[in-house]
Amino acid sequence: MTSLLSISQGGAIALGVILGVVILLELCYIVYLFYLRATGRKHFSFRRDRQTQTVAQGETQTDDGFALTTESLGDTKALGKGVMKERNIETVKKVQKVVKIVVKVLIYIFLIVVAISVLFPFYWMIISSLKSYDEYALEGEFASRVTPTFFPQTILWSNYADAFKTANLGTLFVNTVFVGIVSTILSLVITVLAAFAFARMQFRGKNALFAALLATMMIPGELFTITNYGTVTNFFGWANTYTALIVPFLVSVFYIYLLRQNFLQIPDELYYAAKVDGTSDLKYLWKVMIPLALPTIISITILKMMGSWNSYIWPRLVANDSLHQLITNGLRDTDFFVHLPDGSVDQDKINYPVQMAAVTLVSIPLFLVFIFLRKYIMKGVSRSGLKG
Amino acid sequence: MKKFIAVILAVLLVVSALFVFAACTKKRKADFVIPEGGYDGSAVTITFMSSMGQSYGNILDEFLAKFKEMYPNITVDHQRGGDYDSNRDVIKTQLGNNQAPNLAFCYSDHVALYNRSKAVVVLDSLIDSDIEVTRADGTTERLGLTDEQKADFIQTYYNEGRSFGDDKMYMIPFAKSTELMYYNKTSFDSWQLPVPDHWFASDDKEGLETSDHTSMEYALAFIKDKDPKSTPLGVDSGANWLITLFEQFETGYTKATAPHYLFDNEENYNILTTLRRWYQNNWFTTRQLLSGTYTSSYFTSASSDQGKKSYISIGSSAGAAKQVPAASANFDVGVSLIPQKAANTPISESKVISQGPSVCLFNSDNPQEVVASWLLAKYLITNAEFEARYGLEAGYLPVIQSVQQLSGYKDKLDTADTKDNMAGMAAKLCLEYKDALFVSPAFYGSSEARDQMDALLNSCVTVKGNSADEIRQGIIEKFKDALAKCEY
Amino acid sequence: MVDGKKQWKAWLYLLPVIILTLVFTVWPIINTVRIAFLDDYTLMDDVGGMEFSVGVHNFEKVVNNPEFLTCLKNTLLLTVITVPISTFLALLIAVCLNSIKALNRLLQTIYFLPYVTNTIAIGIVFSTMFSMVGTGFGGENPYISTAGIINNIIGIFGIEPVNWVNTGSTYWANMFVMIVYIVWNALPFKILILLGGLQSVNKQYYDAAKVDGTGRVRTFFRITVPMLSPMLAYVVITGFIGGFKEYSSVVGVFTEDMGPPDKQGALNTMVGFINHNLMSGSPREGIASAGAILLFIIIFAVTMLNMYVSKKRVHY
Repeated sequence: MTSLLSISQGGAIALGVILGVVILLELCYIVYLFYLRATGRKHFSFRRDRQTQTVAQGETQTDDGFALTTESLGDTKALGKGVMKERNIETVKKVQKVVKIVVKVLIYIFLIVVAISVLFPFYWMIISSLKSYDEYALEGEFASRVTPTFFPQTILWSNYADAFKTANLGTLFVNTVFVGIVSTILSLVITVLAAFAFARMQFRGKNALFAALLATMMIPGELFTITNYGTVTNFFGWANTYTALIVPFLVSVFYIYLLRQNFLQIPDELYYAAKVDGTSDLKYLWKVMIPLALPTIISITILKMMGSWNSYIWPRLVANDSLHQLITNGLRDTDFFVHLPDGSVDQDKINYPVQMAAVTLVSIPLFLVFIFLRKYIMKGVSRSGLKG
Repeated sequence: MKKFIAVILAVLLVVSALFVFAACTKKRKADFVIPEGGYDGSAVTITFMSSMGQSYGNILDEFLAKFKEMYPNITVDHQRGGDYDSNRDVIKTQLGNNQAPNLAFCYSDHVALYNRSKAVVVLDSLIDSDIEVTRADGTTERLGLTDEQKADFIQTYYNEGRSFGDDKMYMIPFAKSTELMYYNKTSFDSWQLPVPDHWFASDDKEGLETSDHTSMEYALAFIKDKDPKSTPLGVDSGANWLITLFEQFETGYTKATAPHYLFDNEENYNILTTLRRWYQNNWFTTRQLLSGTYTSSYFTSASSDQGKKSYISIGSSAGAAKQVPAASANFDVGVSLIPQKAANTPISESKVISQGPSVCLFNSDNPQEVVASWLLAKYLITNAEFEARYGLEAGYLPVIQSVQQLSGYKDKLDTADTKDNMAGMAAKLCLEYKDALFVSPAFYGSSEARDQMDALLNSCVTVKGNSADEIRQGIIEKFKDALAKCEY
Repeated sequence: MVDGKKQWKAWLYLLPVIILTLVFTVWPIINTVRIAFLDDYTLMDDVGGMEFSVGVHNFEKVVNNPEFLTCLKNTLLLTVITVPISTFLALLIAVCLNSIKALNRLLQTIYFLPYVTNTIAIGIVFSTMFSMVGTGFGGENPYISTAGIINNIIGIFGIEPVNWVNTGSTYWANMFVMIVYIVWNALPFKILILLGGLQSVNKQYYDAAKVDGTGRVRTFFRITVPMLSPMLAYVVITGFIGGFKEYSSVVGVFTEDMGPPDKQGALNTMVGFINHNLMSGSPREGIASAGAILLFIIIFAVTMLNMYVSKKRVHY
């Protein structure tokens, strides 16, 4: 009992903080959603009282109320109505046009500013990857500079060659692509079957099973590592095989969820019609559902590939021999050291530009895949609708 | 609601399963006993996890090939791991599942961790074994170490393997490094400033007022006065600095048996109070305080007007080459022992920390693997040629003294100077200072203590306060924090 | 209506998922719970043959640990601050993006780029952008030789250089950098979902609103937001879950010290706490497991509340 007591003493603050903040959070969230749902009726109604009702148009009369406040946001119609009586239509049209243009310009400025701030780190990464170590670290001949250079003074393409050579990227690429493709294909089969069962079939315990699967998404994955390592190496004996890299990550609840949502939107009638025709479930799945859900399936494929591109801790544990090493491991285990004047390497000085070059090299395939398949990813997410 | 019930049921299931599995424990391998006859020539594959990068790893592979000629049935799987810490995590996870490499690079902290699993092979019986093992060409070698081989080791390095509080040998040194003081000889000469040989002024006066001109206190104040925009002293490892100071002044750091942590005391508050004053005067900086910039880059820098200039640099002997000044900064470098407790401390009473990888063996179900691993470790470590090549390439110091007689290495020592052959210079000095070396105790938690020393130095020197009392309180608080984090 | 054959088939389709989940998810969870209730459990001691008694010692140690409270505070603050900011910004960007034609595809592509990057690698880029170079930080007279790119940019607007991430930087300066980075990192996913949602809103609603002469802002709150509410709820819920698992972004900016050099651990998070106890030189798996269970309980409670609220409030 003493131990429980001391929990209540020492942990009272902790639990109090947790509960307090959680409740506070929820309150904020409820208020926020209320605000969204309430359509701003209350918000605008107090303004309406102050204005004379000039136009009686049923529900839309409140437009007058916030016409002025929303000028800058481009509520040109409302603006027009509010001042219509005093000015001629020509002027109104002109004002409308000007406001419209101003709003467009503002939107573009905003979007471009955001785009620049999104791109800046990438820009920084790329120019850093082309600098010499001294220029990057402002040492040596650059030691007297106060600001870092925005463009490399001498472009060192050799950093990329160094990165490729030092890290043995070729083998790593091949390994990663192989693991990525195999695990994506297997994972898709499993995901499609499960999503189909959850979306179309009736069985006892369906909802409970689905909820339980969703709940596993909330568990921090770090702790799985130790136990899974034992399972994979001791129980299955898969150390240093591709299998160990592939099998433990075949199930992704998130993808099942995504695809199930997508399947749910395909009308039941199609299914029943197919049943009447005597089409088997699998055939229906293959002929009807998969083509309809293709964008989602493609986006799952891309996400899965990205995952194998970025995984680190697990491959490091189960398959760290040179035959099976994956790209992120290869990169981190490779030391991009600065070469000293006497030809030896400086074990303590990491050559960041070469490291940046390696990171850039690794990211490029992902960027390319993403840029070419952006359309599908977009469709996949919008089609699945994410409605529960 | 159904979902809620399902989830609650699942949780209940998990909790009840707990009591089922609470009983299951892992079975442990039997303690290692040398098989009769030592290595019987059977075919075994042993895994060796090193922390070597590509270039040094290639040297190792070359010698592994030679080893293979001697013992064709022993296949070595050389795994180039990542850095020391990630190797430690991998080995720990493997040990947790009754798997491990056969031999691995390690620090004493790591062995303290592995030892909990009782999987590290105690080397004493192997070292003392007088079994003769037959090689492929028919010649034999003694399984254990001969007396000459034992005497060949630099004793501090060798004894580190025994520093775990139970007088058993768990690891054997592989390559070592220590800390050295590099100074700007050109400037020191032109200022006629004596090279500091101890830290604090013996007359307790501050800065230029002290008459103790061979103290670091005076040197730093003097340099700051001559070049106000400089940061006179750069220290690459704050943790090493503090641990060395605590050892030199015998004020207590840690010990191998409980209670482990001794650093929270008045004398150490005093040391940190002085260091804080130095830092607030901009007299020194460390790599950690600079968020990772190596202080050697300040030492070797040509410019003196950007605050990025130091005249004294305390850094690893393994990094000697990076203390060579930039081509544009034309000055001579002097190298000496780091400052000590008091002026003119003899070498035998001096203290300087020793670091670097050792090798440990892990138990295996097949005792032949263990014996084969030992043969490999012994081959590499007692091989002067390998130690010399590796030492020269990686900047580490060989652990055996016979390396000095080797022609290639001897040349390096003979031509040692502070410009073209800084590595040779460092190696030469380290041999001179070998009686000053010490290692910090290793136990479960010693690596945390080490991490906390960095954090402690950084947080103490930046303590804010209006009065001496307030500052002292702040420093005491930081000590308590560090202690709490260690003991937790 | 539920016939036996179908039941059997459904389970067959689910078999791979069930088996894999049992082996690689459920069993580790059970093991984690077991470890959490074994007093002072460490893996090495276990292998070494030590016996552990069953109890709540680990939980006691976790909740009594001031470090854990710091982690909890940081995690909650980061989540509470970044989720609303990133959701709002993403909504704004998605709506703006949906209203323009020129440059639309280019901008979309740009906004999604952070989605395909490595958190730690870009974190390093952020940290160099914010960091200053010089000596004596945290002392009375720091010597700044390079103020860093961000300080140079804000210097154009006449703002004094701020010590963002170096020695001597303040907690809120650190937090600011983390918030910027986390929002930057979280935007692409949210924009993706919200833009997808916007594009699937039936155009007829907007046409009807136009005919009625409904203003844009009103259309936004009356039509867009309710139609988007499932996606909004989704990004908020996943945002909360992700926020509670925040870790690698802090490592990217501050390394595994999880804070500036003089205040190590000041920005540690819950997952950081778990990882440190799992992967340090003297690991304590029992405490890590107890921490993970507490984290799970918190995430679970918040998610359940979120779902409960969105059930009531979200328009379908």
